[in-house]
Amino acid sequence: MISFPKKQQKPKDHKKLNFEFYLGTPYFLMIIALVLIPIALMVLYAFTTESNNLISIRFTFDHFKEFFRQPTFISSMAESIYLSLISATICLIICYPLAFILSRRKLVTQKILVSLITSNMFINSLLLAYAVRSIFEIIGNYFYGDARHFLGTDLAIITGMVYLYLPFMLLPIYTHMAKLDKNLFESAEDLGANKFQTIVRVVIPMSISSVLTGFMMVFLPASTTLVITRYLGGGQRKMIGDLIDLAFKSSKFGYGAAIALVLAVILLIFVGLIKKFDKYEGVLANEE
Amino acid sequence: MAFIELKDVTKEFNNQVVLRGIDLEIKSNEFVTLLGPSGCGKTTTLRIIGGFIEPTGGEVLFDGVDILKLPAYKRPTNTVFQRYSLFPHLNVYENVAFGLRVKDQNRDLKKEIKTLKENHKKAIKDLDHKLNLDRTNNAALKEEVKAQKATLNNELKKNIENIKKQFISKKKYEFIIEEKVSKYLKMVGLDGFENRSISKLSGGQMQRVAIARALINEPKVLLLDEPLAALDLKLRQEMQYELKEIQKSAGITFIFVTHDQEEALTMSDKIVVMNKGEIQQVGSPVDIYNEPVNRFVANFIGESNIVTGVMKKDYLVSFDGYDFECVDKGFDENQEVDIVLRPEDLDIVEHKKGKISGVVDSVIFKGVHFEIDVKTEHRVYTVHTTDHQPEGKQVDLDWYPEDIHVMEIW
Repeated sequence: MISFPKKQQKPKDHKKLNFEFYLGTPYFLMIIALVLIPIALMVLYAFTTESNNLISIRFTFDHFKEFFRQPTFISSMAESIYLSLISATICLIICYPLAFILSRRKLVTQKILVSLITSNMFINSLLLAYAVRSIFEIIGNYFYGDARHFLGTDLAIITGMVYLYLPFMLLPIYTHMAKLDKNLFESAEDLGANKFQTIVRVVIPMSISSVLTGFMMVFLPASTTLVITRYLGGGQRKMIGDLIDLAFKSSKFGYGAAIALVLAVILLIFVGLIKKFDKYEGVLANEE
Repeated sequence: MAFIELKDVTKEFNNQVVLRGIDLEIKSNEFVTLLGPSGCGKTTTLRIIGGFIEPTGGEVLFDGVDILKLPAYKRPTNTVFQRYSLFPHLNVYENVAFGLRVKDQNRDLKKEIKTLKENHKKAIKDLDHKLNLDRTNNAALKEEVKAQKATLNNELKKNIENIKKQFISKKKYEFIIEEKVSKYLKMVGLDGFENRSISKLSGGQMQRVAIARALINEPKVLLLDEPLAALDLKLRQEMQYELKEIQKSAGITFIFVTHDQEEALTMSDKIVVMNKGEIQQVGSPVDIYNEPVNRFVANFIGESNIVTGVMKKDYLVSFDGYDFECVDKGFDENQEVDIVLRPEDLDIVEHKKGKISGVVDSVIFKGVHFEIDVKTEHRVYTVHTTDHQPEGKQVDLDWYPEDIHVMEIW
């Protein structure tokens, strides 16, 4: 009698994989519908001339040319990135020590303080921006006799960004810090490290990845913000968000898409650079 | 003189007394084990010595100097923690080198310079004072002081330069670190593991890294908080010998915390048995095993048959309805006492030839010996013997007078 080797293991595996694949289907569909198609459309718009007829599509670089030909646009893009980088840095300077201090309090105190600090996430960002503007108007009116004195200055815009996006920096850092093993601080102290050395040699290297996450969480939305410039820009500071907004409002979809695409590429480069700093993951990746 | 001294150390957590009046003396180069069940305060004692907990009351002296005010990083102690607490972001090499990296390689020399500068300042001040005292406005004196100041300044400069020449450069220090790290990694048997990440180590390897990391600072005292608890039996026994070997060769005082009596007996020069925040007994392993002071110690260290009885007079104790000869004395007449009979000291002999008669109740094979329960009129005695006895056999128990150990009832 001839017996054939039974292939039982493989089909079973295949089935299991299939099941998991089907389980993921809604999410794949969601990604296609909400991420891939919009990006494809954006790219399509950016590289084609405007027409209502799908058949008469013509590819063109005109939108990009138009964008790069206008120095004001490029400068406003540079400005957006510059201001949001500064804001993210200020957020970091505020949040890092804050998160460290918070994580060493009693658990109840931690919970209360964190929910207080992040409470402005529950409030509409329009209101927040408006509130910051009112304060600047009051101060300007009082000291300079001009309510619009501060509007449109770096100070006003950065203050607004920091105020709005502070929780996005605090939360990832705090969550990471709270999870740090307190025994490690003890063992560092035991080995002769004073408080400062413990922070430099243990706390910072171990929390660097959360810092980078927080940095991106602030930097990315801040660089494309519309709300801040609308309320605190005083109508003089056109940032990249305003330009895109303006392009779409005047039905220049291709042009708006081109700006958005350029911005996206630049931000991606920044994200890549930031990721390079992630030493902790680097150490793990280089292990034997 | 005692190297480390704990004087009446007490500790309360939320009004709960964890340690009450711990008095302990530890000599240098001693292997001391704090032994007790969990929650007895042994780890708390260790952490007080290490500087991680402040006691509610009492003193901790190192060489006669109170160190309670010193923060942990300034104490001459290093700790091997229960769960090792290795730094996950550093590899094996950097973990071990940590203690050296946080140290200023030129600390002592810098201190020297500081004292030199202070002395110099004082000398200058003295000269100024001298000049101020002089009301005659003596030009010659002024000149003299000026000259003296100049020489002082020159001297200071020269001295500082000389000391600075001895400074260890960063490059050189890196070399020293490398040398030391490889020395200590070799000592714990981990050479070749320098670049391994901590997460890729086994429990035993992590424990060795923790020991190397603690030893590299050349502490006077090494504190070990149940470092072997997470290891399997074979590895644990191996590490016990290695630890003892390291302690002997490095000449360091070890304070070891464990709840494992066998571990304590194997490694220690001195065992401190603790229970409920109090020291029960301090002594060598042999003393603790053979002469336990009370029921708790006798029960915790090894197995034992504990019987209550009455001390009739010196060298005569009565229990189970008979009077027996013993070697203990110094009790009151007819004082109630606890009597310890170690299972391995009891012998099973033929009926009517021993001291108490009974019936073999159960026999368990334990590998090295049989554990035999003998049911007598008053109680069941456990006997460890290499001779097999059939169950149900009528036998007698016998022992030598020195096998009876009489304890006061606490």
